[in-house]
Amino acid sequence: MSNPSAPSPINRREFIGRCTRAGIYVAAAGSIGIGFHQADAPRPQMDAATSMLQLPDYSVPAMPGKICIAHGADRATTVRQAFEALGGMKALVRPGERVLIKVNAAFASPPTLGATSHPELVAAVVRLCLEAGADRVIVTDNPINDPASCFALTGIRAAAQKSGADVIIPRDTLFEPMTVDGGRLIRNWPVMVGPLDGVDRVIGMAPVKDHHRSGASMTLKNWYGLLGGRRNIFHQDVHTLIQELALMIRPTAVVLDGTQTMMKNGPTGGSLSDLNPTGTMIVSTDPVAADAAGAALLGRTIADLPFIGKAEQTGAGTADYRSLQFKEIQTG
Amino acid sequence: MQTAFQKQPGHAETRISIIILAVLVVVAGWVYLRQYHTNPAVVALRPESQIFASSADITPAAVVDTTGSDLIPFSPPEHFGPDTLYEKINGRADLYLSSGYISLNAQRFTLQSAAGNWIEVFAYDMGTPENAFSVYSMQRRDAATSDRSLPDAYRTENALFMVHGQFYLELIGTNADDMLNEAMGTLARRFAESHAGASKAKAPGQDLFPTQDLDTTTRQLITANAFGYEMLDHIYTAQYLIDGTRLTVFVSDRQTPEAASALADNFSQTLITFGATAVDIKPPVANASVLQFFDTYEIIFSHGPYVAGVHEAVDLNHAKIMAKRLAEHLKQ
Repeated sequence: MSNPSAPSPINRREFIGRCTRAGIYVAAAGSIGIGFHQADAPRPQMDAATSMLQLPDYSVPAMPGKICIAHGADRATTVRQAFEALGGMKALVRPGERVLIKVNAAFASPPTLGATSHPELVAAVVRLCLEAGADRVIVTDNPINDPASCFALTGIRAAAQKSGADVIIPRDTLFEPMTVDGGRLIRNWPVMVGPLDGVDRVIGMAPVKDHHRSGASMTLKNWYGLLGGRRNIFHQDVHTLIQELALMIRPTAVVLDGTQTMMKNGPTGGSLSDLNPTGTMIVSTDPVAADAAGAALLGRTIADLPFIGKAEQTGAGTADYRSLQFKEIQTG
Repeated sequence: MQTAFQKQPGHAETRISIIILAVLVVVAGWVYLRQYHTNPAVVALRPESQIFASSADITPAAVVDTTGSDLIPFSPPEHFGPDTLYEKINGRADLYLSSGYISLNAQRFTLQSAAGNWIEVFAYDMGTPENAFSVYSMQRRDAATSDRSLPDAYRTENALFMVHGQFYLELIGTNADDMLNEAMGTLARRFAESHAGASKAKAPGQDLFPTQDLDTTTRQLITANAFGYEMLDHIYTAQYLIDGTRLTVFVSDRQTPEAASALADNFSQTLITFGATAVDIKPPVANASVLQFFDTYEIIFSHGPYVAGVHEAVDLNHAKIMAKRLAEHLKQ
């Protein structure tokens, strides 16, 4: 009598059939995996000498957390007095040092439209650096439009050279692939590090502008101009990108020009009616603080600009700018 | 001789197998979705992305023929397609790309009698008059005055903005110089004449709104997410001034009465889901929904292929008047 609970016997044919079916399933699963494989994907190039390039920390250790908000209509006056309130440029730049000023020369626009660093401001900051004893001052940016046109039509080139600075126009040989430690986007990406060679201090300079993607373009976003390649793809995740820019570089100071604020239609603007004469110059050793203060000029809050909070998380600074050594002055 | 028996899986084995299969399905689903979010750096490092296209293709023809005028080209003409538009206008490219953008031709012109100042002409080919009107109307500056010499144009201090058939034009001057402003008009008219004639250009949607109390400068075409609702695309809006109260009116051609009726119902139901309540009055228009949403009123109806209504009105009586006028106009 057969036991109804005993397993039914399997013959050789069934065994081979089951093995064959199992093999087909395994092959199919493996094929799907191979289908996702991209043969022409870039190979990891984790060469420690180039890929994990670490930019020096350009901040002055003895000068943490200072910010000055200067009110006035004349850029040369407000920026000079703002630096004086922080202890003077001589507290940031030592005699014999080399200084790089990273301007915003993104577009071949006239200075009247507020889309780029104003040449009067560039000249003023160059002069301040040279007065403090800087051995050399470099002005540079990797613009969106044709570089030569941008530096010419914005007036930045003429102003920088007239005040004693060297202007470096980007070219391919100035870029090296770089990976930001802890970054997800800036990995093996061309970065314009050439002008930074031998530089002791870095000052970022940007106008306060509305930006269609990020909400605002100020000092934190200004470092976008060190990136090469088809960087427009980063607009898909622009707040994270700005966060990684804050990880990438620690400047000596930043100058945020809110003399005329581009309230709408940024970052290019175009109409004078896009501008608001907010008459404010913000100078700080903390770019997060500078941008937090600048947000108000656009009528925005820190919550409206997620990149500020993200940059703060990296330790690049604090959005609570009033917690720093804070000064607010009215210039004549 | 021992006989092989087909082992029947036990309950525990079955449950474990199901769990493992479920995990594999989740992993497969995640991989499938993740394929649509490739790290932009990966895309950028693909071989085809390493070929940097020139920032602009030079076209031999000037954007505007200035023969016989005081205007001369100040820079060569530039041409930008969808892939290179960001190289000219950076973050603002998204607005155009999502509105049917085809190409941009740009060029600077200067006056022989006024060197140092220039006008940059941006001629966007948006593919259709509706697309062109959409980007024109959505970027309209507040401090603008209509230019009566052109079918659909307005000016600010230093700029002229125009829509002509499928083209959206921006003419940006370096400053608010009178001679430059006059020259802008010349450039705009010459462009219109060379592109199918100015008399044929008529902004789309113009006939959808009754003219009584209409502020013609406020007509706008919102191509997507009108009023923040994903279902509302291709919505024309305009503002009216009744007894000092400003009202926003909207109309959209949905092609069929069924589609219009369905959209009207859908929009009404959505507002109710978000907390709107029906107002207990006789509707000003047959089958209209009259809703109160916080402290404003919404009237929504369909007529033939059109869905229309009054949006966020602060005064119910004015909203009813406007809804009646709109319905009467659409019947004509």
